[in-house]
Amino acid sequence: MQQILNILLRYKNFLIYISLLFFSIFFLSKRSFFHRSFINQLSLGLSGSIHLIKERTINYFDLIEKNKILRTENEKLKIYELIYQNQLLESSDTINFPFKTIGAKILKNSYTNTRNYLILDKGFKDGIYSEMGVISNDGLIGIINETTENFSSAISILHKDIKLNVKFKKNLSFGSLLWEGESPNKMRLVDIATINPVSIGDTIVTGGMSAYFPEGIPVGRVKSFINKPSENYYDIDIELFSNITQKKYAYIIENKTRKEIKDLENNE
Amino acid sequence: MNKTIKYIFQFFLLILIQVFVLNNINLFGYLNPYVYILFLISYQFNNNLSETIFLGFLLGISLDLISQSAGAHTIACLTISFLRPYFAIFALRLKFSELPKNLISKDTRLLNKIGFLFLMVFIHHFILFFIIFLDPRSIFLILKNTFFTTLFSIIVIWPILTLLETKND
Repeated sequence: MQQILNILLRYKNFLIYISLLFFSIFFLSKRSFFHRSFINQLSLGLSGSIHLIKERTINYFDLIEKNKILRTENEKLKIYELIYQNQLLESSDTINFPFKTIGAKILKNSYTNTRNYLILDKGFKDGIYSEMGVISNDGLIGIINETTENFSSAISILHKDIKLNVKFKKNLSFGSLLWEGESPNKMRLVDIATINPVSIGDTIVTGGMSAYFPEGIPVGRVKSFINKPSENYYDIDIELFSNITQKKYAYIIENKTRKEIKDLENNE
Repeated sequence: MNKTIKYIFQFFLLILIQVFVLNNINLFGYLNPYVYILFLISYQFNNNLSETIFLGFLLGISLDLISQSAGAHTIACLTISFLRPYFAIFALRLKFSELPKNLISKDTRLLNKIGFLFLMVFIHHFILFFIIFLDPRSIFLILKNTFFTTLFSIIVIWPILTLLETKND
């Protein structure tokens, strides 16, 4: 207390000056409209910037919550995108679109091995079962392999043994997409018969032949192709649209009709 | 006691002269010397800075109230009354404790006196015009007005100051 008093006494003159200055400014603002509006502008600018800083800080701490909200919203929107892409190819029934998306976070993602796996933060508690497709915001990621209560592992499309059913957007000729273990954005398209015309830059979309992915998700484009005279099939190099190595979030696709399809396949 | 009466007399006389005579000069259309700060220039240096600040404030606000100006004089006078000792030690190259009680005297060197006078007048006028215009874009106008008015004020203040000079006792 004594110290505070000492400090007050020491800076007495300065404090007197400041208080009188404030009074003068108040006096000034009372007497002159011009000065009042200037002071108002100044205080508005000050309080505005203070609130901006506050808002930004709060926003920063809010990010996790906001991210969650955005992800659930994206999950809903993704289904519409899938429907739209599906409709581009053929007029299908919107209401009976059999796919549903579940948002998930990628916990681990490998791409340096020849057989790559991912771990996602959703398990059978969230309705995830094996053989569900996994897509990202702009391409394919993989297929669910195993699930535990809270987690699931997925086979990446960057896996030597996986074959994906894809087709050309322009003429619906279909083939299989596989990865030969080179770079994570390069895949090989095989089984396209040479009777189909192919040109560089053609877009490849998912085919509807598998129950994993809905039809029409853009996958990549033709980078180069070889037409060997002795064979009836092309060797096509595909450049993927999405960069799987940088994905943080994924959508797991649930096919509501998968069980029926599976049963049929088993009956054969 | 005698001194106090002298200061009170000076205080009111300067305000009256300022309001009724000097504010109506309008040399070249806009120049008015602000001589009333002579009070703050010639006021004694005692160790009571608070008193000086209050007097500066009173001087400014009286002028503002009488001459119907907004409040620029109050802020300008208040500020120079607060900064007065710093101007003095800067102009006279002295320490706080060495400041003479009466700065405006025959014992003070001419150059130091002019330095102190210039600082007081210039800073006062600058703050005054700055608050009157209060617009960063008219900074040249503010500086021009400050410069010419400072010149005019010093020309008027200097002879009066010489007359007021006393021997330091």
